Amino acid sequence: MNKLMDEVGLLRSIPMFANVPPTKLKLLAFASERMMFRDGQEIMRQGELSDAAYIVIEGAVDVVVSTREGESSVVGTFGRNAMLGDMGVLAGIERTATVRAKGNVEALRIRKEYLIELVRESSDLALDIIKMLIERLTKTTKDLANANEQLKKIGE
Amino acid sequence: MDTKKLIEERNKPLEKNLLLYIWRTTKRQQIWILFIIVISTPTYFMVFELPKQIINGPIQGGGFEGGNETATFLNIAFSAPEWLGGYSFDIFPGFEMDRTGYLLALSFSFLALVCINGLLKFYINTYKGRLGERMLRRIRYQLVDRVLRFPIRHFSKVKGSEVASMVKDEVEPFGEFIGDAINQPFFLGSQALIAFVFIFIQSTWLAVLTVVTVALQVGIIPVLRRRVLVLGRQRQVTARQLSGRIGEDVEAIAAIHVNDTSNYERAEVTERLGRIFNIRFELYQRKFFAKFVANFLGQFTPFLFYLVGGYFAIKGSLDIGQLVAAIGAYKELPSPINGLIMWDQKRVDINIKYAQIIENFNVDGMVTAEAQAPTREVAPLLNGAVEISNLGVVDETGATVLDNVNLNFRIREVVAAVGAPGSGFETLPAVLARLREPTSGRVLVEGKSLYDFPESIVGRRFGYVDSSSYLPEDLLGNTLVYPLKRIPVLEPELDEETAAQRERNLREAIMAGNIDLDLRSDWVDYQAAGANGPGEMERKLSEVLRIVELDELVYELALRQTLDPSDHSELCAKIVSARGMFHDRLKKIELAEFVDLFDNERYARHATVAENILFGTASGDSQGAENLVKDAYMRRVLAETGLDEFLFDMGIELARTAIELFADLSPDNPFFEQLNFLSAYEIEEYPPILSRVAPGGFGSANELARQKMLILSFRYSEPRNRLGLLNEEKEALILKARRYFQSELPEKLRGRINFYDRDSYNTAASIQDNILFGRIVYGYSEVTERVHKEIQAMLEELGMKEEIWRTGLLFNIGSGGKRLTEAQRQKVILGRTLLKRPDLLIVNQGLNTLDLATQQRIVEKIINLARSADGWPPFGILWALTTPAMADQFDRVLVFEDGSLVEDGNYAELVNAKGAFSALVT
Repeated sequence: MNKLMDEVGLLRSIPMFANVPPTKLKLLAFASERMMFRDGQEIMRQGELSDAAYIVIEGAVDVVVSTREGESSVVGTFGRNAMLGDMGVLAGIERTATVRAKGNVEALRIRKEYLIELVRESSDLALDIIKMLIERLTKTTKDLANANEQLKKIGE
Repeated sequence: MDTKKLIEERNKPLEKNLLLYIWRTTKRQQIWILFIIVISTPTYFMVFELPKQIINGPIQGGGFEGGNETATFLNIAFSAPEWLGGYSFDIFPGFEMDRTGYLLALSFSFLALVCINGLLKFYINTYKGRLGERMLRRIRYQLVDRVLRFPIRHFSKVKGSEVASMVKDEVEPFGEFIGDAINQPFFLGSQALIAFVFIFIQSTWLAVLTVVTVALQVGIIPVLRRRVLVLGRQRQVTARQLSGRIGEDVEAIAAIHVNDTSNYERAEVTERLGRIFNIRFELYQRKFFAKFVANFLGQFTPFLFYLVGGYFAIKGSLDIGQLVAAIGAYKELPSPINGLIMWDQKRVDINIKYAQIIENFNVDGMVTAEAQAPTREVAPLLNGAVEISNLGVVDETGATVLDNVNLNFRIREVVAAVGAPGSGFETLPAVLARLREPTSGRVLVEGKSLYDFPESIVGRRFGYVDSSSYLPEDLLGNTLVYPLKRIPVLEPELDEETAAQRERNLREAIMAGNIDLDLRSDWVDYQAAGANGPGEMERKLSEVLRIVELDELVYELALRQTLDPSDHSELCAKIVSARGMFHDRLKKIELAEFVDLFDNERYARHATVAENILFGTASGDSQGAENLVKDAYMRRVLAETGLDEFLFDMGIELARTAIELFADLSPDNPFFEQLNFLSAYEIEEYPPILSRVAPGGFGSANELARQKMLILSFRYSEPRNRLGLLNEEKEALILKARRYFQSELPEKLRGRINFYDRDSYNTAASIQDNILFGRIVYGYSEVTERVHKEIQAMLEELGMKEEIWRTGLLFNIGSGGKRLTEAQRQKVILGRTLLKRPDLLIVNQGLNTLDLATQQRIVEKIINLARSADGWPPFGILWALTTPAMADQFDRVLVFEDGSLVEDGNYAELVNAKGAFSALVT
């Protein structure tokens, strides 16, 4: 019945928000919008300004990256509880990928100002974000090393 | 005064001496006041004289002694003084009257004299007041007239709010002074002289004493006053600077917030207020000391009279009667003398203020009055050449901005100026617009110096746009036609009464030396824009708005505009009739489920509880809805449906949630934007109320708590707030309340609610919402845009677009134009400059806040127009470009480097030359 409390639960399950006090999460949920997307509708588009982050409540989304040549490929598919577009918002950069609804999608839209305001207020949250970024970076570095190795093998 | 004389007068510096200024401008009126005062003196004295006669005569029986039954009334006779022979002339023998008759006659004469005296006084005061106000109006007008003619460079030294404070506040005290400026010294002086002559007749010695003490006063007081005058000047200047500083604070408010310097500004104001306090306090001390000295000297003379006069009387060389008479006469002396001193004090004080103000308005190099003279002549088209030779510009710091520029171009040429910032490419356009003065060299337009043209030619035939985007508050349409308002072109049609009023206003304006042009005439020069009247003007407006890509914005603004059905009855009716059609269209494009239509039988979930009970909105602002909570009828409806207890509990829940989430946030925290049922300021009122009430406690809660909780519930919407407080059962209850509310609605409430009526136009809602007649549901991406697009498409198909577009011109652009973005303001300024169809369009980095693609498109469109596309008369362009690459569209490119013109040619040539220009574009 009380959708707001459902959303607070959803936010709590996101690793980034694990250490944010409950009232702040409730505030964030209160200030967020629940949005519906039709199958195939773009939730965000590569190259546009990052104005909000999204958390998938129901359904699945494809993350699509287009290259300079105009080719595009799906680099991943995410489902319930996935957070999208958060890094672009925090860094103030353009969207690095397009996110498209795969089937009907319900998502929570968190506007940029609110996310930043929250980070500004809580150093724990900032630390968690740093931790998460380092994890992602480590993973990417590892992937890069693997890819290099494979390239070398192919070259040989 | 004829026009030529007036113009000469305006070109001269303002008179520095206020008294001379007053005498020169109001000579005749001052003499008239003097005359009226002189002829009013006999009645004035008679009013004092008659009571004595009444008491002595009929009441005490004077003149009726010795069996005399009658006395003579109105006997007019003159007796010449003894030394002229003592002849007497009986002009009117008068009436013989008995005691009662005489009493009646004298009493009624007294009454009549009181009336005449009062009326004369009334007339004199009104006359003086009007004289003062007229003079004030004249001074203010002259000051503003001068501001409009200040040389442009002077504005780097002038603060707007200081000028405003001088024109508005500092001249204010002159008004009272002007009426008394001339006649008061005259009268006080003559009174003093009479008293003095009388003393002189009684005793030469005493007269000498009087002269000495008066001379002492006259000698000492200016000395005491010297410091007071200095302080007065300081007081004026510090007060003026304070208003300048406050003006700056308002302008720089963003910088104060983002740098947290508000406390520095507070200290700054404290410092200034402290200085003003000290000056004023010293001023008071000095003033009262001067007063003390003046009073002392005033009383010193009688002391001398008693001492010296008494001594002579005792010695027998002065008659006691004479001494008493001299002292009696002396009693009459201090008040005119003090009056004169006070008058002089005021004169000096005001004269200093006046001189202080005038100083700021006598500026060298002012634009002459002739150059701005209003003219109905159509300015001749400029078609020749601009010849610039040895042009040099040195800025205020002494740096050379333009150095020895030699350049010829035809006015109709399409020229770009480019260069690095500070290279002078941005100075040349400013020189051509006469906003920068050359320090050397000359600029000829059609063989005549640019500076010899009146503004009526340059201002109409040249168009100038720079990157500034300030627009004063007005309606968008008025802002756009502003450059065409040079002289009234159409007199308004007025009924007899208004015409007479207007005639009076203009006459009064002329008497105060103001301009005799009526602001309420139609000033828009339609012809200059190529239109034959207001009707065609709209097409011209839409044309230029299309060029600067604002036409769609105007349409969107129009759709968001509210309309007054009394002005737009036909359009409103059409909009109402389009509702049904729109709802069918929504179904067709499968958007119907995303719009929550207003239906008297259904609960509109996407609207608030209050809207659902009223089935409409309360008129006016939020105050309207709040008053509704207090309304007895509304409360009866809530009570009888049992809604009041439910909504009260709901309010408590909402208040608790709001306090839990928002109580420790500062009021300017962005999260507050999302709190739709409570503002950052209201929230403070709730904790104390909440501590006294609990759910179910409606019965025991006080009236204030009830109202406060009901207000919160009234603003709730389930899909928006998602707190799960409303279900279908409760919605049905609210619907029941709605029906009840409508059933016995009192007449006085009816006018306060805008009902959602399918068949009538809702004045509180925008055009768009009136067509929609419902709410777009929350949370579906792109639905809002699609619905709005559909509304636009339908209106276009119905042929209503143009009519609605027009209402977009009624959009208020806000203070400084801030309801438009900076880019939009720059577009408005460029658009309105095109509207006046200049022969030479000068653009100095205008549009620099637009993205490059849009800039490029607009530049291309304007160049096409200049080359006579779309039936435009050909015109020339000089465009100082921030992006040199855009110069490829132009016929000719001027390249500047360090203040010099280093390259001049067409784009391709310059790129190939591999010189300064090719360095700029690569």
